[in-house]
Amino acid sequence: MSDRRAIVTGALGGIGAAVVDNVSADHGVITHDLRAHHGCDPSVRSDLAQPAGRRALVRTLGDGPLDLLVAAHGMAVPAPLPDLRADRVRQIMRVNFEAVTELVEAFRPQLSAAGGCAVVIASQAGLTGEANFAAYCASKFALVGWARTTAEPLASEGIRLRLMCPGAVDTSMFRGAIARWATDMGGKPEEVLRQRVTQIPRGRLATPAEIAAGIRYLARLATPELVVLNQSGGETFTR
Amino acid sequence: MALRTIGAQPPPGGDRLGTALGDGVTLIIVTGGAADPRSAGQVTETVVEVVEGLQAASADAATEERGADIVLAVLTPNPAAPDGRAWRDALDEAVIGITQSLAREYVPDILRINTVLGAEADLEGVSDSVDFLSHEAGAFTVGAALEIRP
Repeated sequence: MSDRRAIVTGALGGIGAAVVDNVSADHGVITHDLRAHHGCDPSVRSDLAQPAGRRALVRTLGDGPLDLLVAAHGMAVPAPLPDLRADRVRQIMRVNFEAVTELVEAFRPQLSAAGGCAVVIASQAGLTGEANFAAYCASKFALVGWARTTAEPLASEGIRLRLMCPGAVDTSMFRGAIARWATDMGGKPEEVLRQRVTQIPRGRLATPAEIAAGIRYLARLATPELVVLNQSGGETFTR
Repeated sequence: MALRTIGAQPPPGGDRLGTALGDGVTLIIVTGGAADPRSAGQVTETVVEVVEGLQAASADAATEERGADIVLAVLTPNPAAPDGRAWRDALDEAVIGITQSLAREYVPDILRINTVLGAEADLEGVSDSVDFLSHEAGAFTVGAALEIRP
């Protein structure tokens, strides 16, 4: 096994699993997820929305250098403004925003020791708003604002910060959000999905493997400045 | 003037914002520590309060004739926390993300939100922005008043 080490959160999700596949060839990968499914157990299973869950992951690595941190965990729950409950907004912010910023901070010494790279999965919804996803957009926009200011001090410590902003990706999280929205609207998931895809100039959802390839590209870039990759199939450019 | 405050009482002189406000417009001011977070968790708490404020203001202000008209002003205290730039940028972006999402969720006949990102020390500039946004800008415009940040 390579002595280069990587941590991937959300490792059993669509994008996370594809990232693990992509970087395992040249990294020893510690996988993290809240879940265990499909017969797969992550190296660490904990809830990143909770401080104890984040500490559990940090303890696993110890003090050794860390070459790559990929924060691929996340959650998305659609709701129109009147139905947004405070506890749900708080949960989305804790998972999508707080946990990411705190993990990067927690692993700062280990990333610096390796001249490592932190790749944060933000979203197209961190660059342009999406209807019925106000809390999700808040969490992803917040990541973009935080990254813009944080990249420079991290770079001064030898840490490269990258943002991946995918468009609509064919994952269980995306399809779950579509199904939930269809249920709330009294529609059919396949019809809601079809309408959603018509908004993408490329005409289809991205695959997790395509996004993982983009993440690998970001991680290999040597430039110390913040780099943002927006793989949206052209959707962001048409809004 | 319908006024909601998140985080603290309006800063001294804040009443001038009300006089700039258009008729029937609700002003939500985010001030004090709520506008100057020092951690990711504090960003979250302000986001929660902004969402709750928008829910309440849209419910209170909406009429069948004209819908709801809201100006959201996020006022960075002066002096702001010297090490808090990343959190303030995160909060500013989060507020923009919420309003962009709502802009695609609602037609302006039902809900109009205009946003000012400014500084407590520049109430005149913020007031000018509130005046413009609540009278002339239409809906879903983000105006940045003069920023005073270290």
